[in-house]
Amino acid sequence: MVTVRLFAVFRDAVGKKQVIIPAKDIRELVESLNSKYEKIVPFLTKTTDPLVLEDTIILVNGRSIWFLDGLETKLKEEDVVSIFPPIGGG
Amino acid sequence: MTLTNRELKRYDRQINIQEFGRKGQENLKKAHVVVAGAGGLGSSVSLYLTAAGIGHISVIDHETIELSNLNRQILHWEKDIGKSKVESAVEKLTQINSDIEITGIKEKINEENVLKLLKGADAVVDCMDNFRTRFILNDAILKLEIPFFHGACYGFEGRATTIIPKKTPCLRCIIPKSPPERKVPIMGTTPGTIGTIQATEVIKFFAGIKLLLTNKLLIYDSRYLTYDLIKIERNPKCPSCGD
Repeated sequence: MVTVRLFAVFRDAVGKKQVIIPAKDIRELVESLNSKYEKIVPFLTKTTDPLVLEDTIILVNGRSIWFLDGLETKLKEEDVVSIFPPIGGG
Repeated sequence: MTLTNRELKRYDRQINIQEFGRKGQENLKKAHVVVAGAGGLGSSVSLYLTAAGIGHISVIDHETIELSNLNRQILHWEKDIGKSKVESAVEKLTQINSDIEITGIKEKINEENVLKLLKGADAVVDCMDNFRTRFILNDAILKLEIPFFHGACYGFEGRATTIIPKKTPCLRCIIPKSPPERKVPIMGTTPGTIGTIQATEVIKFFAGIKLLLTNKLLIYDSRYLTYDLIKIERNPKCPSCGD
């Protein structure tokens, strides 16, 4: 089981700040969130292209999936995945 | 750097904090901090750093004040509309504290001028409103090996982290690619809160107080009134700070 911490629009869409779900990689985790929580779909795209996720920050234990294996990043028991949008206002 | 009697009196309340003390105040007096941006974040950051007694503060901004800035940019008032943000900032800040040096630099930060603009700085506070310039500053502080105090806002949400070159993740480790530029909605109090956190981090850094917001990203959501900390790690493949 993987702990998913959700922030901002992702937290709103799921209605919780944290969910614990089984997933063997980020792709499966994204698919699982999309199928379970309808409101998250517009924010967490179903695409298989990791570049489309550039507007979504996904960290696995504090590291961006961008530098890991993108959607193919493997997950193991007790991993913590954080999902939030980048924000840049000031 | 010794403190004058006036300074001892002015900063008495904070000097009385045990872990800060006279030494902490002396360290603030020695510091030169660049506040990059005089908007919402820059307003609260520069107000608190000025009041706290940072010895030299340079404020960089190229914009002029508009009516739509006033919901959050509390350094600027109705009478300042049309004036440059830097001019307005220097005018207010010198009235708050005439014992420190305040420099206003009316320039747009870019790849060509960034190292010149940050010359002599001991730290940079990120008060920008776009990722493009944030990344320029991020790369510059890595070269100069000086700390970078990141802050950002959107609506009721805010983020902050303290970046120490080679010791913590840099901005690009967390946000590898600049998201599309768009007009950002912001509740005025959000940069007030995040800017205050950034200023506190600057003060703690120079005063030698540990437990900085390093290797952690603070995510603030004022709708739920939550402050969450996410552990973040350096990315060895980061194009800016990777090995």
